[in-house]
Amino acid sequence: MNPLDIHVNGQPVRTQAAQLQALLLERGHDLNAAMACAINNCFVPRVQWPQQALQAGDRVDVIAPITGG
Amino acid sequence: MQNPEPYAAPAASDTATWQVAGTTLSSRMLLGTAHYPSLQVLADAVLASGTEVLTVGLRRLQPESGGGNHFWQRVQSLGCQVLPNTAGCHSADEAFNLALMAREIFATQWIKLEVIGDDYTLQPDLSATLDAATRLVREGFAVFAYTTDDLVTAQRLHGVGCAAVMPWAAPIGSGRGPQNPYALETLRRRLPDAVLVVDAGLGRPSHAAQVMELGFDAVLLNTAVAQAGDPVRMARAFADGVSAGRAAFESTPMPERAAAQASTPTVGMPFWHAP
Repeated sequence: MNPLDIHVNGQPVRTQAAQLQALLLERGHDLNAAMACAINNCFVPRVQWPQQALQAGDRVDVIAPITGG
Repeated sequence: MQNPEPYAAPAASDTATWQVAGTTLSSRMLLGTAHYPSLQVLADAVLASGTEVLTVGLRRLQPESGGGNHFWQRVQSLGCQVLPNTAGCHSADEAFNLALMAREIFATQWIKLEVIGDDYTLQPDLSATLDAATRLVREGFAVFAYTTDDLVTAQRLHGVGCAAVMPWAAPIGSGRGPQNPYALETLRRRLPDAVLVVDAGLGRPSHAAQVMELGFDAVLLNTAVAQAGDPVRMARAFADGVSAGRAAFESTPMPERAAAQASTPTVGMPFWHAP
């Protein structure tokens, strides 16, 4: 498969991953951590991560808890 | 025009606790988790305040940073209800999607809805807030909507089913205290059945007492505690201010008078009008 050029958290990334979960593993995320994902500003539930296909140009956001008011 | 009746305090037996989003709480102080010198100071301030609700945020995660799991584990250990926020969102769509992500991470339907319209004042975008609130309520969220003191917007947020309407007292983080007490008082009078929480701009315990005296159900604080010289002691001081204000409200303060009235009876006063 050809690599995909996408953005992850606003940064350009070239990936071999075809699905969201593979991308997260490729980038070193702990899948058990408290985090959530969106692609192109749309929430992707955790149960859909393994099957969620990536497309060239996708904008992936991975978020986690921080302090807040 | 006649003066409207003041918002009546509920019977004393009803006021030891209060309810929001189907949850019974004892503390009338919600506390933010940002800007503390350390997680230990945050934990100590939470304990000192007696709060049962903590607000948290969400931001992009870099895997090498370890994410927010250390912070999140510490918050979980405090045993409080978590109120995730949509801080930083500038559109209804952004807030809606961030709320969905928050629900998955924190496993709660509670969401503090913030849609910012102006970056300088952090004034909320009221039409976008109403749009997002409507969609989130429909999705089953308990929406705590950050808003200004605009009465009609507050009525509409309550009307679409927000769990709490949360007007600012002053811009977020300004610590200036209630800039328009009349507007806050009007909100309370016109929305007697809504849960009203003053969300932003309080800087001192006297500010908290002032809005609680008006009959607000609770206050939400962050910077005023976190950036005090002694956050733990200030958390306790705010808890005292909230408690004093609520007690004053329930005790029905005396009406203001235009003229002085002697406290000490004048009947029987010796030397009265002596030549």
